[in-house]
Amino acid sequence: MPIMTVRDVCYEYIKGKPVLKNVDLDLEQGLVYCIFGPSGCGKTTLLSLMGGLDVPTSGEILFGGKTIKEIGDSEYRRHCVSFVFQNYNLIDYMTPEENVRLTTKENPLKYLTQVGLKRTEARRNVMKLSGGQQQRVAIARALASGAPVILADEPTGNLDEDTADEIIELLKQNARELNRCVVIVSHSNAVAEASDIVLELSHGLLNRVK
Amino acid sequence: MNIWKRSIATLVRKPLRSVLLLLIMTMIGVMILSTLMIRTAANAQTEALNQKLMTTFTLEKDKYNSDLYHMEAFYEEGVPYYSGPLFSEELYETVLSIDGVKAGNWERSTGAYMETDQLELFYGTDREEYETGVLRNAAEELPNDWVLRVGLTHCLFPSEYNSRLCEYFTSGRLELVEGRHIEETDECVALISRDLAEKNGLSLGDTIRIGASRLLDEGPGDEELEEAMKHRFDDCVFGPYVMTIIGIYEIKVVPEIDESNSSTPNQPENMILIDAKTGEEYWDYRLQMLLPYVSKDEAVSEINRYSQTMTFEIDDPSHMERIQKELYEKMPETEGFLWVTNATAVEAASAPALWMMKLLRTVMIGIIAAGAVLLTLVMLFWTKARRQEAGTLLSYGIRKGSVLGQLLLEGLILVLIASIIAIFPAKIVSNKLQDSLANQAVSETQGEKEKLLRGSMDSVSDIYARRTYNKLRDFTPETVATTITAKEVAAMLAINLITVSAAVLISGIPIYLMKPQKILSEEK
Ligand SMILES: Nc1ncnc2c1ncn2[C@@H]1O[C@H](COP(=O)(O)OP(=O)(O)OP(=O)(O)O)[C@@H](O)[C@H]1O
Ligand SMILES: [Mg+2]
Repeated sequence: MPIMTVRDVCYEYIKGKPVLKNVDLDLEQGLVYCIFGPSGCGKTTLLSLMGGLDVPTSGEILFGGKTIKEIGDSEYRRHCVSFVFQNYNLIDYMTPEENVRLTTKENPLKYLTQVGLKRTEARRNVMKLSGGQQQRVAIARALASGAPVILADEPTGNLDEDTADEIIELLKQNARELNRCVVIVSHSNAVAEASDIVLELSHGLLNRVK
Repeated sequence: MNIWKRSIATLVRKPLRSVLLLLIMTMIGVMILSTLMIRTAANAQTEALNQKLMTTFTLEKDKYNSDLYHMEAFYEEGVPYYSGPLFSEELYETVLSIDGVKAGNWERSTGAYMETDQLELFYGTDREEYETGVLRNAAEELPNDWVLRVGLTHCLFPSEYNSRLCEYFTSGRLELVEGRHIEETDECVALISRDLAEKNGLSLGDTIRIGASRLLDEGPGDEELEEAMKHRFDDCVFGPYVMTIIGIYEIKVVPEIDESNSSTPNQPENMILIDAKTGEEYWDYRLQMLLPYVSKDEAVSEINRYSQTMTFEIDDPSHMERIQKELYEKMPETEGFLWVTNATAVEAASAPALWMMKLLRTVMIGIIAAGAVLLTLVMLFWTKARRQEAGTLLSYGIRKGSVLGQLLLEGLILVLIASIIAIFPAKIVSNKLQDSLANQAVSETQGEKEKLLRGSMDSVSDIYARRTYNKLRDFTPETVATTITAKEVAAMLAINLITVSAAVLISGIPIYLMKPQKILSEEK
């Protein structure tokens, strides 16, 4: 049984200009999904709907057979899904450690070292880290939450190839070992190759290509 | 991180914003606290003024109401017959029995009929009054010298129940410099001027004799004037009474010399204030003298013709109206008296405080409003960053309440610190304002005093002129030391809290209305 089901979802920011048209998707635990598509096609929009940050214009999103509304907004966001934002959205006055602590009560260092951050970097002002380091903090924060579904928006956009590979490996490992469902929005071939299922979003329609 | 940790982290790690907000909140706090402190001080000052400048009212015959006077054939010279209400022991006791009346004084001026012997008086410049008025009954064709000498034996003898309340003193024109005031229970006591005491080598405890001799009415007869003067108290028609000097006064405001006070008995230095009992005996004697010739009513009216006032001290100027109403209910005829309230000095001195309070209230409301706007603007300035922060927190399932609560908590922590910091500058600011307040009160009372003194400097003996002096003694308002009480700090904190909460809530509206999805499209 899929952990999350996107059922017949449509979405439009402006009336008459649909971004998503009747999108259907079943997400299984233990698998890595890759969604790609041209810029501005609605990938981030789809993730935000799946993450419960917005509600579809029509259609529904079920988690474990229940709608987000039934679960409750904040309950859903806290325990069911976890985001890696395209623009990181790190809280600027917090250290990487503290940012990670937003989603977990465990020791944040465990997650920060997983993404390759040094102990000293973990305690620095988060704004003083490089773009790549910030991106890794954002990933660590998502992984730390323990939610079964990880929604990662361009998580390797700012990383060099080697680091990107490591991160993809880490996400894959999370899917396999912790039985999570990882959804990655990415243009990178490496990600597509590493993913179990690859989907293309174009003109508001989602098609499986792998 | 819980809400506390997040709040403190924001405050500590965004120092520019924190300091800016703290500065504005401190400014608001200083304003609120100084206003509160000044209000307390102003109240205390008004209270102190009430104590210091006693509030009194004086009942007088309404000289200006012609309905109360009419000409009677009995009085050859056309002295008007007074038909208004009379002063009496009953009136005095009735007023004193009214709640809020602290003390009273019944002052009766004997005119120039009583005499002293062995006293060297101060010469007046005009003998006219004696020749035409006082001595009208004396033998005709008296030598000039005689008139002068007899004139010199007279002076003004107002009798007092309570000389402390007598307007000579409450107006500040006379000041007791030695001994004590005359009280209701005193018998055969007198207050004299320092000038008269020095001229005659008198001091506290010494005695003087007063009375009314036949000489005054009948002239010296066959006797040598010198002899007659010497022995005139041997056979008095009234007295003589031996009066003990219990107090010596100093003349603080010397009246200008004009027709009304140029005669010897009216010289301010010559005035001798005596106790009410001796005064009463004198009036009885006058009444008895008149009775063979006129009806009792006429006699009483004649006696009441002379200057009399009753002055009462009350505990609070705001009780004046009620006291008046009560008296009129108890003794309706007393409405015929002139009611002169003497709270001018209190009013003058407390006017700046009241004015400043009004101003401060307006200023305070203005500053709080401006501060609230400024706070809101400063908070709104950081809204974009805060929106992103809020969206992120929301997207990880942190509740809206917690996100907005953090904003509020940050504000509250700052306001607490600001309120503590504000105490110190508030003390300085309020002290400065209070100094100027006190100075203003001084100049205000001074101005009022000068105005009144200029307006009626006619005569010490003119009771009608006197009432315009009111009670304007020398007065220096003290700066009431301000101590900041917990009550004021709590009030300041409360007002500051409300202001800051309002600013937080207003600046929090965009965050409250925000959907977390929006952060995805916000630029990094
Ligand atoms: N808040 C918004 N209001 C109106 N239109 C929006 C809003 N956010 C996004 N859009 C539009 O919706 C479309 C989909 O945007 P979205 O951010 O989902 O694209 P994307 O596929 O994630 O693009 P990219 O690869 O550049 O991140 C775009 O045309 C975008 O301009
Ligand atoms: Mg996107």
